[in-house]
Amino acid sequence: MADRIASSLLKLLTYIVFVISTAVILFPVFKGIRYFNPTFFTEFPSQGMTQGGIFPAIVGSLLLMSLVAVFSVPVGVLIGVFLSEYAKPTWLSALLRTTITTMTSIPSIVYGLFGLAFFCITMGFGTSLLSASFTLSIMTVPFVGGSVSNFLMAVSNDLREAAMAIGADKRETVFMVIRAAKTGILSSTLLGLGRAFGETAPILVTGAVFYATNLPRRLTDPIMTLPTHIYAVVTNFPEDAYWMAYGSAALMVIIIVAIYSIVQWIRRRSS
Amino acid sequence: MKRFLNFLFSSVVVLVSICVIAALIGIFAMLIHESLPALKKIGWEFIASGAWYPTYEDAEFGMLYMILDSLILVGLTSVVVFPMGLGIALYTTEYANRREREIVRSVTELISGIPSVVVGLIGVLLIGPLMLKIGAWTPFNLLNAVVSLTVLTLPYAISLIIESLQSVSRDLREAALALGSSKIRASAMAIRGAKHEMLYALVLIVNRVLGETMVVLMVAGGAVMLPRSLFDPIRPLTAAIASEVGEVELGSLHYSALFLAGAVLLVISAVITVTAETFIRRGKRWLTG
Repeated sequence: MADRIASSLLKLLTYIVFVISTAVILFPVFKGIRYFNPTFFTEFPSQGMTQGGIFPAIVGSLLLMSLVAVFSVPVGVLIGVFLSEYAKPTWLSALLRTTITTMTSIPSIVYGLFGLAFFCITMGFGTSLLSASFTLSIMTVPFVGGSVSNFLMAVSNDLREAAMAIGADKRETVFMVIRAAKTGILSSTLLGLGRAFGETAPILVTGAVFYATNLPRRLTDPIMTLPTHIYAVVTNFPEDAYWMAYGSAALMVIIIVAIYSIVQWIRRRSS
Repeated sequence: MKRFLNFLFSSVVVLVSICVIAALIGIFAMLIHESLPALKKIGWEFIASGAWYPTYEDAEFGMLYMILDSLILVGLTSVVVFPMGLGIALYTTEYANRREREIVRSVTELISGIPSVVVGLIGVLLIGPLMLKIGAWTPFNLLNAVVSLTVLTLPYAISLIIESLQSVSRDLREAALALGSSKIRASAMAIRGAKHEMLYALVLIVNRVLGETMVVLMVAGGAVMLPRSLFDPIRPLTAAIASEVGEVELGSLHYSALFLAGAVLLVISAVITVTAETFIRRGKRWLTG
């Protein structure tokens, strides 16, 4: 009897909370998807964000994510390889593990402060695409590295022993292991970049402008991005500009859900 | 040649690893370096006073209220999110049928990646007007921040708690059921068995809320004060840093004070994490004798 009650109560809680939170999160998509049209994706915003589109923010986010991918994926994979395949000297490996745990728990705004002080000021890059991409890369590396090392360690030792037995050296063995774990590495990369794509505070501090009249030409130009554009519109503009924030948010949610769906699909296919 | 390539590759791997460690040291060094001027000039008043008037002629840099705002927000949000997450996780692991389990798992995962700025937008445009309807004098307040942060962290909490419940061996639970104990008893056993993992999950949730910036920046109201009710606006540390660092004069005392606020954030998070870990370690020693 008590069991039945507990079960139905928990069921009720789960259903209610689940439906509400899903609906709330999909709210911007419902509100924003109706503004999707060619103009919205290809034009600059105009008339105080009430007309035009979000073209420069899309381009800015794309540029930023490409740079973050170029900087952080190789480094992330390499430290994953170190943790899983070399792990020697032991103290270095232990230190790297602690580093990764610490870095993933540092709040994003602190990375923003660091990026501002180091990349923008000390290195002299200013508020720019370059500063923002370095800052985001530093945040993304530990996430990708930790995740990649888990996937590499899940590769059976038989493969390593077989490779050694046919005369492969360490490097060739490592590449075989990497190839065996390639879908895992792909998911780690996608999830890492997906997280970086949604980060707002660090870009706000290191590389974003709220309004640009042309696209960035150099790495040291500031950029507009989708997340900072949403923030700018919602907090600095009157109500008749909100549609643009809804549209941008809908686009972001769709992209993120697509990334996570791909990752789930990869996982289901490989298991 | 082959041996050289082999050597080169291992060197690159080790070198890159050292660089990542150096980056973390660099982050700490930079934070300390930039916050020292403020620490020297303001002294311990930064933590003893709540008066934060960084742009006044006679500027004051007391962070006490902002620190307390952060802690109040973290406490309230955890009190809401953790039990909700636990309930849903329990239902999913103990009672749900296969299909329900699949749905909860995959949907939680899909929405756990929603960017915080999108949740901030929801807080401003959907939850804000609701606040006015239920009698708040401002749409942006402590309650709005708690609700928005709940929306943001609940999926994360559910997956963490499901993971910790699953760390309890299935055998234990099935043995309990076979011995005729009720499902509630078996669930209670699962919770007790996973209490260390769950404490750790709680620490991760707390750290996530503590460091969350965009949502609190957009919906918490931004007034440096101690809230007397849920409808009062607050200004947690992260919101202060994010909103002020863009307008601050580089190298000024205010600039340095914002880095000090960042350092305070890290210290709070470290204290929480280390306390929990000590607790867990002591608990384990007690269990194993």
